[in-house]
Amino acid sequence: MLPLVLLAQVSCKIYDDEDSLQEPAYMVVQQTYRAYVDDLFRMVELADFYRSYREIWQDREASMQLADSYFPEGRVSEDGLYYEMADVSGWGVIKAGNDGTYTIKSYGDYSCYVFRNYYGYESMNYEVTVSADGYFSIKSVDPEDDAGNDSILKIEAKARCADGNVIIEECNIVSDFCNIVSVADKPLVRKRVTPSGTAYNADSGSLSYSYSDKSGVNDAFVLGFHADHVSIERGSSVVKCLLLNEVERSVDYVISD
Amino acid sequence: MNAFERTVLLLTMTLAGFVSAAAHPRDRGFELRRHELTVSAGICPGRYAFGYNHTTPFSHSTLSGAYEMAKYYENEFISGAWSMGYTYNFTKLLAVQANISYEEGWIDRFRRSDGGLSAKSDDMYLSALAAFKVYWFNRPCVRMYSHIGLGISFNRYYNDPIEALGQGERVFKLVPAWQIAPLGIMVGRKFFGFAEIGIGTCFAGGSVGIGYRF
Repeated sequence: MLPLVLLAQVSCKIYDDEDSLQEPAYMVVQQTYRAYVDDLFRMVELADFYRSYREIWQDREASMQLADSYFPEGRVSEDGLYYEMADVSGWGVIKAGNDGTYTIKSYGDYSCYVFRNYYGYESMNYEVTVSADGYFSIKSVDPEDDAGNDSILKIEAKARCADGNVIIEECNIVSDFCNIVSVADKPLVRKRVTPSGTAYNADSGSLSYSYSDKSGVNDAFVLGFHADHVSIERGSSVVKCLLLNEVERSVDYVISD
Repeated sequence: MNAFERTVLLLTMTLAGFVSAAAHPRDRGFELRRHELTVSAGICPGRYAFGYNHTTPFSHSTLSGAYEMAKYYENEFISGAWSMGYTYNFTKLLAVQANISYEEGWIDRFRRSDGGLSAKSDDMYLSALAAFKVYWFNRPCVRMYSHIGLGISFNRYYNDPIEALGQGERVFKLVPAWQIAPLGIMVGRKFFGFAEIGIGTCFAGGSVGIGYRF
């Protein structure tokens, strides 16, 4: 036995993350962006498309050409387009109300644990009002999830589409213990969806985060979007991180200078 | 003796010659030594391949878990899979082997603030196996074989809670052990080296070692 134990002391280190910089807020940002902010961009795109479609809806060929020029192939089918509603796979189902507003049931995604204290699939319901100058006012109604969660989640936003971009000028995402608010004069700007694909990361703009939960975690920072990275800013301290696409946990997501 | 009888006699003698040659193959110089002692190392330890009993002290699905995890870093180690064996060769073809193996994997978790050790996870296996070996290629310097073995492992593991070094519950268990090596090769006479390809709780992939025959 002794020779075996002695041989076994020739051990091998197979993992060491001492030099891996940490920013736990990045996990919160990743989840909230995927579950709620990206969803907002999609709802604006859906409303923008539906508003244009309703002007030509009687021309079926033109309607499908509009859909094919807006979304990637296969997202819209002929039997999903009506004057009263439109179904865009991966975006949601939008319906016209009697008072000129739209209602949207989003396609849905897995929830963010920071907001909902559970992990399950949920889709959001929104009311959308379109102003004469082309602005969309979006307001969440009760979300639907598969676990009967009773925590608070309210989403409000004001956005528009212009020059091939979706611009969220005002944003307010509130839960029991976490707030995400837009920053004045720093609207979120992201490229609009095109037939060749979707965009994910905002190209510019900022969001202000603050949360305080009962376990004692308190944090407040500004999330900045840039062309090649995101920044988490606490006063003069700035941490640069990788873009918010699906980053695996094992990847070093903090960019060291 | 007529032509038919001569033909039968010729065929019979020819057949007897073949049978005799098969029963008594030409001596190729192979010398059977009854006893073998071996020491080997697994390439990709078996228990590591199947997964250790390590658990994380952090809850990945909570806000507090994410912030707690950022305060610590980990170093993970494996000892490798080491074995000692004794083989008794009944014949040139058949043998039995008794093997003892040792493998351990552990994780040290340190505080980022001061580098202090905060918690450990450890998983250790001491195994005893009996294997049945078939040598299907035998030359003076080269033997090729396959073996299959079954046994038992004494397993001890623990996972310290964070900031509770040494306070993780020590768990002791007996678990099955097994090893299959469809292809092995030995090169040498009295002293030899060997390599195997196989899968099991001792090694998953390959194993190399040295041995002594007497």
